[in-house]
Amino acid sequence: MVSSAVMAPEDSSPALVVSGLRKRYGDREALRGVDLVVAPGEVHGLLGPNGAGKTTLMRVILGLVAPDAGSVSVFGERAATIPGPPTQGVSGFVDAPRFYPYLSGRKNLRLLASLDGAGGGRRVDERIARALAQVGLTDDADADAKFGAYSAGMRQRLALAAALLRSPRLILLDEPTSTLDPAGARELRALVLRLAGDGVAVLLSSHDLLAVQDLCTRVTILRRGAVAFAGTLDELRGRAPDAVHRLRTSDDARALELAGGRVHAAPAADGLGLDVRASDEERDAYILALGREGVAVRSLESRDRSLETVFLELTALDDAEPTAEPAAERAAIPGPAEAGRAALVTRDPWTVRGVRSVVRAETTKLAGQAKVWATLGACILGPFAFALAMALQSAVPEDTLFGRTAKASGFATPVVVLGFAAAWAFPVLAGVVGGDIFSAEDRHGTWPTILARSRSRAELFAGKVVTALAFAGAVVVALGLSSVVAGILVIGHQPLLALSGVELGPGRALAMVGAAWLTALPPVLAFSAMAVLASVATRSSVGGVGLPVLAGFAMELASFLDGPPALRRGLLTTAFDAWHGLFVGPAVVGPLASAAALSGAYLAACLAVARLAIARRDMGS
Amino acid sequence: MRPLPASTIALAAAAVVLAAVAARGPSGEITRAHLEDDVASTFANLVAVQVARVGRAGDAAALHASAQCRKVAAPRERRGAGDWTCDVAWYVPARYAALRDRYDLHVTPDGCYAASADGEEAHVGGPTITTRDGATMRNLLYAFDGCIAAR
Repeated sequence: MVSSAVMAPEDSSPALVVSGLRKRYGDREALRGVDLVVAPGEVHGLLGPNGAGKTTLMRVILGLVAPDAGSVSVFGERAATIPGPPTQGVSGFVDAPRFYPYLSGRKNLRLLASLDGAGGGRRVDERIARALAQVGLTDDADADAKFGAYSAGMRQRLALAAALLRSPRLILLDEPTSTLDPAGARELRALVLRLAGDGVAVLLSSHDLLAVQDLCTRVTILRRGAVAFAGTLDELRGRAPDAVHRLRTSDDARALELAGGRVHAAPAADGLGLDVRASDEERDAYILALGREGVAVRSLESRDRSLETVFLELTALDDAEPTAEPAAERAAIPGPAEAGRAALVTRDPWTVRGVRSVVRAETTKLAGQAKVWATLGACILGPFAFALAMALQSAVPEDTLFGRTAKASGFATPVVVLGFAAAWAFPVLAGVVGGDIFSAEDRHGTWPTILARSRSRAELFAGKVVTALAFAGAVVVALGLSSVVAGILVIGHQPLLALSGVELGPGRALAMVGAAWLTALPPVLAFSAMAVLASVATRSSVGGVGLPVLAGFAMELASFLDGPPALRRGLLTTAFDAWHGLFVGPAVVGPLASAAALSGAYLAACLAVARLAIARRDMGS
Repeated sequence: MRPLPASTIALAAAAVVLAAVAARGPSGEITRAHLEDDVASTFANLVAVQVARVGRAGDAAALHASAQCRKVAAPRERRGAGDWTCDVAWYVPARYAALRDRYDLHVTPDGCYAASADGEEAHVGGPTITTRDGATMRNLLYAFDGCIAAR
């Protein structure tokens, strides 16, 4: 039964208008000119078998995937950029909803709320509590449990709560009851009807018409990417074929003979009577004829007149084209995507506030990861272990710069650590976050979750890059400061013998050591950008962290080959040597400027390619 | 052709400009002349530091230190990383005499080197020295590190 509350007001403007949407993945046409209209307060069923194009259509509406042609208008506003963040008031989820497994359900919601521009504080927490209550996650133990420990049903509920947090006027739900138990499914149906009653437009996808027929006002049935039917359920019922009845008589063979041209009758597959397909009038006439011929009717049972029959017929896979293939001329009308592609440059809108909210969300995520704390801990404690080892053993590392003076001056400790770190540790440390910050979304399947919020891809990219670079910078600062403190505390603050053979007093030595560590920042940031690119390109954290390390190793090897100076100058690892110029007399700053420019070139080139890849990628496809 | 994001174009342009700036930087080439200059001046500075540490006054300029270097594997080659030998000569004012010692250098492609005196019989002495008050300290002149300043 459809509640009167969910009937769409006839005079209201549509919440969603999809027109002539087309999308191709390689050789496969996922959408072939799909039209769809959803009114406020309407529960619209988007139906079709698996692979019909339902999820692709929802991805396009949510801005996760760029269509090849067609347009999407939400509340009368044409989507400005596709892909891009969904219009305000639109929310939902596609596929199996995913969140960050190492955060609790509540923290996940807080993070998504911050991406929508909500600050912290009590008001947000109250909104989250309200959303959790609406979906039945009222128990604090459930809300505060890690998402990784959630059951499939709880995940579905959390996804619904995340969608409700955006105070939607149009909500897209992809197979929302697929993982719910019967009680959960009933609660969800009640919630959907309540939302519709409040005027929210609901687009509900399902491959099972029976599961949603008591919810939907109208349905659109897709078959192989095209609309096979669009209309009300009554209109769909009107398409039902003649009813099939199971007839059992005193003489089935004679009854079959008498069917003749009156009705379509055939022996039942199970051998128990005849299956008769006919209209009501034809069937009445046939029954009377049987009586006249002395064949007694023992039973007549209605076998099949459900919507499912129509649905199955409409979506049956055959070679015939769907009946509702859009008019050819529509394809000639460029949608926003085509209009955008006519230009050479596209603008993905971003604001400082938006980038800041992404940085905040990323920081929340980093704070929940053990590897981040382990890395920072190692950077702080490692130099103390090194300085203690230097103080306790008799030998000194003579094969590294300042190694001979490691026991003679505590200021040698940070420069020896700097030399060691440049050789192998900096590329690793730069990749800890940079190499994982994009691929983690692939690993957790959370791209659709964050892209369905209010932040543009440009903002998400910038926020993630800023976070990765800031972490890499923080690691350098932590390691450098810790080395200085460890050297002074364990060895002492004796004068430092510079590479020019002159002695630097403690004050000058400290300044030079600090400057030397600062010179490590540009190449470390460049390695972090390289990790970002590797993370985006490989969609794997192993690739994200491993490739920059391999690249650094290869550059180190290449630099030892003593090839042409011009070739050597192009290797990013040579930027780690620029600090040598600070300790010759007089100090030389030319190499420092050169190293900073080289690092900047690597950083900008890596980020340019990564940005392009993110902008063009269809997410969750 | 699909459009490019404006930020991609800006970043690519920045990369080109910065690469051009980096290419105009110092060559960082290792030459015999640079090496001889650096070894001589570093040696002179170290003499001054060592003399001061043992309680005497020293003036690096008064040593008039100079160095003559050659590449071990290819004596006629005048540039490049690898193993070098440098003869360091200096003047000792107190003795009115010029002394000479040979150093073996391993020069890495980044322009830095590790120098060690060739043999225990060197004028500069062994790995350690003993001060007047009997203390043992590292002989700064026996082995030292340096870097050629890339200009």
